[in-house]
Amino acid sequence: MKQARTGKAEAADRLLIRCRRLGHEVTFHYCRTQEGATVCPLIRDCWWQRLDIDACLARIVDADRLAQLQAGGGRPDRIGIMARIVEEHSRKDEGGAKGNREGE
Amino acid sequence: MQDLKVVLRDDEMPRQWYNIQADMPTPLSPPLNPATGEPIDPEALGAVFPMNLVEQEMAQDRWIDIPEEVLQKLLIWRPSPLQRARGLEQALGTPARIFYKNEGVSPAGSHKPNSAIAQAYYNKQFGIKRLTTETGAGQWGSALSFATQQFGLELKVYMVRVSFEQKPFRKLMMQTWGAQCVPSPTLDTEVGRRVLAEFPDTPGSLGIAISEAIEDAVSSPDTRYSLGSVLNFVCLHQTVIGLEAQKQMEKLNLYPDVVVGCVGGGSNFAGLSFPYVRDRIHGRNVRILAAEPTACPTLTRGPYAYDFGDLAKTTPLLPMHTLGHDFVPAPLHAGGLRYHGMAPLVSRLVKDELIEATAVNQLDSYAAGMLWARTEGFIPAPETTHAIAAAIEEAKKAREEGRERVILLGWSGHGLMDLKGYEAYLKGELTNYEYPQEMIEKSLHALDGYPKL
Repeated sequence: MKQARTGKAEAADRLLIRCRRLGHEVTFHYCRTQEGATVCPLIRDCWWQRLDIDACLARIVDADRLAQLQAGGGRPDRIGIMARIVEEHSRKDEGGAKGNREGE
Repeated sequence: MQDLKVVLRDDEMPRQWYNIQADMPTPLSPPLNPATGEPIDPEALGAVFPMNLVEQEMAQDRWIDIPEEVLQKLLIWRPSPLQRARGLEQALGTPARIFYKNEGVSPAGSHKPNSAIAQAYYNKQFGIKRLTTETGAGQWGSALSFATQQFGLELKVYMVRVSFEQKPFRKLMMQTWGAQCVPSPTLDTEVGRRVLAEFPDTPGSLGIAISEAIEDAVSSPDTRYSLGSVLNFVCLHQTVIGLEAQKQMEKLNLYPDVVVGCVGGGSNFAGLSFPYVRDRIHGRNVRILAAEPTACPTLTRGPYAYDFGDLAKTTPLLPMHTLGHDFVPAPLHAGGLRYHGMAPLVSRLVKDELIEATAVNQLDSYAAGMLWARTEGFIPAPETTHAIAAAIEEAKKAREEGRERVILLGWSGHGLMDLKGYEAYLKGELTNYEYPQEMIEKSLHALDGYPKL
């Protein structure tokens, strides 16, 4: 199991920012440990003004992930999520799984 | 006594929404499937949304009739008042006249119900019995809870766990309106179970909540998903705001020099501004200004990178320079529109220079919110404070130039459910850049030795 780096980065972790996606204040700790152990894909966009975020990320993620974040990879995209889930669901149905929308 | 607001009669409410796609100089590219790179088949979206809304998403008609049943529900709080911010004008000593469209008067306290009501109606018409959605702080979740109750639909809201714990009153609003509100991730979906198995204490994320809501919608009978921002039909439903504002300004024989709104997902801004963008496309001299936070900008990142040196004179970037950081702003996203979280229609219009974008830092925006609350009375939502800060800048410019100017401001919602943010501001816990770098470095050293993700 991956370990969330809840660690001892108390000083930076306590910094507050308003998350424009959630609509309320969150700590830097939340941004770097979302979903258990993954950093938010928008972490560079949100913290660039206040932290040397790349130096910070270099301590948190591996070089590949840092490069991905710097390239803007993994950004949230609702339409993309929708397309992926619909596709997965269709594949399951085609694979013989019982369709469960028969009520429509 | 001086008049302070313009209120339309019920029968003066607009009967059609305005679809800006009919007038855009550059047509919008279709959304692409990230896996294939091909345009997403509208039929595929039919698994997520009812087809009547999918058709609206693709519609090119300039005007789309608002169904009678929707109008009837909108009348619960609409037409919303257009008010003059005389107290703020006096405090600023500006010759500018500032008007604001008050969307905080809706049952949920924001502009969100304008689309929630329409989406609940179209789902009901299509035979859908149950909706799912996700929410962060709960603005959209509560708006949709109110709307589904109005049309007798069931609703399940996947609320990001960290928000569920921080925003108990929004959760209670949803429950009061009859919705089921659960902290995401849940054990009710495959994606939720997978995340919880690996990270039982996860605070959740919007990405997980979206995935759970969509998975539930596509795998449950008579169920669809509902979304309160980004999509074209959401922007369409919100245009009732700007269309009302135009009628109200007309009653005053005024036309705005500048229209200012805040942009999050873009729907509130689209609602106020698109009817004015139409006027601009047809030659009218009006500026349209979108205000967003400097943190996590979606529209202004490019200008920030270009103007870094200039901005350093007046913004919190200065200390970062003087400390000698080799900080380089994140790369420009000039290769295309930035779709994450922002309505493509708004992004496109910025790219076409029909809309200007400006960024406001969090201290300036809260300071503007405080000034507003102390002069106009209403406590604005933190998002709304960005628009207020931008409007104040416009009013100050008018003062400096000694010019009368008419400013129209989108007041997208009240902040009575966001007082924690105000508390953080009042306690000095919100800052722009102040953190001493050596402390951060020191604290981050604590992470050395941990495995990299």
